[in-house]
Amino acid sequence: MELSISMDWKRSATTDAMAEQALLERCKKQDTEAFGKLIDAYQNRLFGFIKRMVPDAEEAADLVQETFIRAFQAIGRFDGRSSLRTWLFRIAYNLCIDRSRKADRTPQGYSLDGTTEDDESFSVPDSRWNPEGILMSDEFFRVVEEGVGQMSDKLRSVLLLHDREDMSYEEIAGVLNVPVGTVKSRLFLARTHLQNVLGSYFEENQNV
Amino acid sequence: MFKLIQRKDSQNMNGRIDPVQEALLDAALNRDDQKFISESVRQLKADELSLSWRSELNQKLVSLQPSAKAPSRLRWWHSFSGVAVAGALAVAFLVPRPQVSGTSPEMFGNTIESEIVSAHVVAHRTSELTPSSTVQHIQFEQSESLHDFSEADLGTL
Repeated sequence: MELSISMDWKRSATTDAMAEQALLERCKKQDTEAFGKLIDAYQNRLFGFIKRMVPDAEEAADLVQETFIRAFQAIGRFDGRSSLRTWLFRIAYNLCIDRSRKADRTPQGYSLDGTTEDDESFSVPDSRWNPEGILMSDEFFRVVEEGVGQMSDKLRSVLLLHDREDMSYEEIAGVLNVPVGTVKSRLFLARTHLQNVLGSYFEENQNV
Repeated sequence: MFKLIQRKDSQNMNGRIDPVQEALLDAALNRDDQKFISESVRQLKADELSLSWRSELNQKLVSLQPSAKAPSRLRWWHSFSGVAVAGALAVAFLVPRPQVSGTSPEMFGNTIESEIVSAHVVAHRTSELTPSSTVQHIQFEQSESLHDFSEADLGTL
């Protein structure tokens, strides 16, 4: 049974890869219909990522357009060494970083090859943290969004790519151009930051 | 573990953490509290872009297509060729052309022969310009009208 599920998954992954390859070949010939399918598949996912990287939703929507325009112009040179998804998110991420640099909204200087996280201030999570007792309400998700917004770009990008986009550590390393170990440590710190934000929120509410 | 991640000296010169620490990190990332946060992020509200956003993007992409650029180049050639044709016509009408006809009456002197020749040329050109059917038709009408008398007409004479 397990073997059959595994084989089905492999077959499905192969089919997806072949379909993506066929779509890519058509896109390389500037086929707008094929490129439209690519947009359909990724527009909302890219928007979800960019909107959390850039505070203004309208600006985020513009950046999604810019991502597709750049992809359309450069798709002929796409060599297929990474997946189409990794490539699109790399374009999006670089646009977000460019925008962030221009707006100078990041609290510390951003470095793409940054490997240490010692510039982030964290406290060790409360050992009494008990997620089972937390109800996932609208208010809860509002606090999570707030916590995501408070992070630096480098922690936020890893958290979103891994936990929302289901990207592997290797894929994220490809998008951000950092080692896999750095991706893991950033992910750990990003989740710890959120844990602290949620912990202090619920502590305050209990006191009230 | 937490402090190890934050410490600069926990990483080697290439910015990579060593295998032992990476294994510890993997274990930490699989803890329940970390998984809970992961699940919370996964369940955040999905975002959707509007149809007008999509239509705007489509317009931008169409304007970037090579086929969209070609007509603009053609338009430039069209305007250029229009100017060239206009110039050629102006030259053709304004520059005087030399006479090439060898049968012009002016080639002959004011002799009787020259008058005969020029009269012949004029008559020949006139016959060439006048369609024979028209001539015949006119002649036919004229001849018919000459004999178109009734008895009453004859009586009035």
